[in-house]
Amino acid sequence: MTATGGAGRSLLLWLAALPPALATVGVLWFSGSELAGRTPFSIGPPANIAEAAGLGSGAEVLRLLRAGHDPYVVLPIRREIISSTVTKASAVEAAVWSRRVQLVELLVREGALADPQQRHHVLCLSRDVGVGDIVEYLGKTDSAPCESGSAQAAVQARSAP
Amino acid sequence: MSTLPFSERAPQDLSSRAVYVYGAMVAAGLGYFLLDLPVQVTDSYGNMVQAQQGTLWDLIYREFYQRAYLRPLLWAHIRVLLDLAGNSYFWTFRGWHVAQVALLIALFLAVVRPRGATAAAAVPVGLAALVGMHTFAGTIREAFPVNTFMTILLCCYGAAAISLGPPRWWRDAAAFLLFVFAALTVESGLLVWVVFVAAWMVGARGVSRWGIVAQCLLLAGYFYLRFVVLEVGAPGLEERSSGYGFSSRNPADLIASFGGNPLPFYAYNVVSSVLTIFFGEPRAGVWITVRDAMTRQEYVTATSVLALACTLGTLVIVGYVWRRRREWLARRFDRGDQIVFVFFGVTAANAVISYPYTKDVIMSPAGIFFAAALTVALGDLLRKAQTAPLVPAMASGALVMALSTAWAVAAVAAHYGLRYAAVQTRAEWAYVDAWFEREHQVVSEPSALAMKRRLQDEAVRLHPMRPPLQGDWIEWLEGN
Repeated sequence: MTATGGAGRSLLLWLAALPPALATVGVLWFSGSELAGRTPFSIGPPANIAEAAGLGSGAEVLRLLRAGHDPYVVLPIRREIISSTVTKASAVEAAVWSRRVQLVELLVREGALADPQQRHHVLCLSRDVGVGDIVEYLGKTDSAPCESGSAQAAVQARSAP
Repeated sequence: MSTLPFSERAPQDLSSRAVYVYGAMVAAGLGYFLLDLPVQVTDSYGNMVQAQQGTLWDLIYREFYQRAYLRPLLWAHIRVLLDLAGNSYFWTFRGWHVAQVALLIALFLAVVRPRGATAAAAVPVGLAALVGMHTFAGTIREAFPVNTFMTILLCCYGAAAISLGPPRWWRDAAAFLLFVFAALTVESGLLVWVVFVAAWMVGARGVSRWGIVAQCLLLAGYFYLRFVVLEVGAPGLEERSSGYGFSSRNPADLIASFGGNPLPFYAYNVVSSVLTIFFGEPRAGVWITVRDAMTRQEYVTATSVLALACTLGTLVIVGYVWRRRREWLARRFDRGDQIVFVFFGVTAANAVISYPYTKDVIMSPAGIFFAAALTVALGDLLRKAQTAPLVPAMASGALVMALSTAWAVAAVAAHYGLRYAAVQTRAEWAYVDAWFEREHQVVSEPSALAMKRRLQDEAVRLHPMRPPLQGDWIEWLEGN
């Protein structure tokens, strides 16, 4: 008995060709969906500069800053980006939860933390959230004390439904 | 002598034509992801600034007098594209990269030239191996801003296409020019000589005997020019980090461990380079899959699937050589045999020239010939399995299914790798000023500053980030 014959022959060729062919079709489907404005396997693009900061996307934060978006304005943030208890925050606050000191450095470099009050608030928030790198970075130019937990509590209170 | 299923004649049937459509689909998918990748900061911006200094001829002349590396045409390549780019670096360099990938896929199909449904069925696996091979990743995820490795891959497949065709006078001339271009682009360009000679050894007569003599004279001339006339030398241990065992070691560690006698380290690199092609491990000299399995009990990872894909591919190729052993011993080689033999030759030579340090992408020429050899061997396996008894046919079917699925996963991982690289590259541009400060680099030249601003603008504003991908399988792919 041999595998010769229509069904056996075709099956073997399909076994070889189908998995990579499906992968290629999948890639093209993904590309087409994205070109049409919907990225599969994604929660979508950041809706605003605060979401971009919460995601830790320096490139997107920079783009929006240069397009004139205000990093101090409190904006809605989807719960899957930071947490279900932080759903309303400004970009400078959300940057703390990204835990990326580079992003805070970028905000400083672009003049987005020029306001000493905001800068101190972000320092206190970093202490509350426990992001040592950001505390160390901002603490170089700010030695004023923080009331423990109050900065984080303020953001969470604002986020409460 | 069997010439099926890989023929020297032009494809005639529908399934053979369909593979060209399929190749275009693969190129389109890869091209889409490539066009999301901005020009890099590291390894690209500095090169672009350097390449725009003086005239093209000054640049080429200067590069003949560098230490350790002889790559004048690499710089000329960058300069020509820079001059063409004007102020649009993204479209020029990314567009060129996409065109190179499309050409590589076209050359792959020109080399394997499948005929009939059985040979055509092997092509999707071959193309998945081409783009999914770990050695290929560095040819698409990075650019300097032209990916030199990709240029050499095109030269190597070009050399194979020239060699495997019918004898023509112009093929000798093309082979001559191809060697000069490849050898003066980057050191691994010398592999085109290996392609020509290996193909000639197994009866490919696209290049004549005198053409091969010319290639050998060119090779001798290259070494004379490099080591006697220009005294360029070769890179030493102090040049790069390299993997060894279960970790990567920096140049200081390497000198401390092997400075007195580097031969064991060089031998490790050569053997590792061969093993990485046949078994997907070690990766850049590091035994990642073994380490993950032993220390973290992680068995099904993206790297282990790739190792499985390579190992099964090797099994199929070795099986092909075994089935064809009588023809090989009698020196009766068909086109498929020639492709497989060239693969072995390129792998050996590629590993030898990788002796100073190991890196996946350096083995990319061997990787693309692995894909071609796999396509030939799989086509032959499918043909044999169709007339085999039921049990062996079922065993072949199981092998084919596992092989095909593993390479499909590797191909998807390659696309995801491009998206991941795009995110990383945009982050580099966002934080570029901080990076320059850390590196103690000051950009003061007005033209260099303008170029930096334009590149950052292209990466951040003109071609903004795509939405980030999420999910368990995305995290799994990130391990690749």
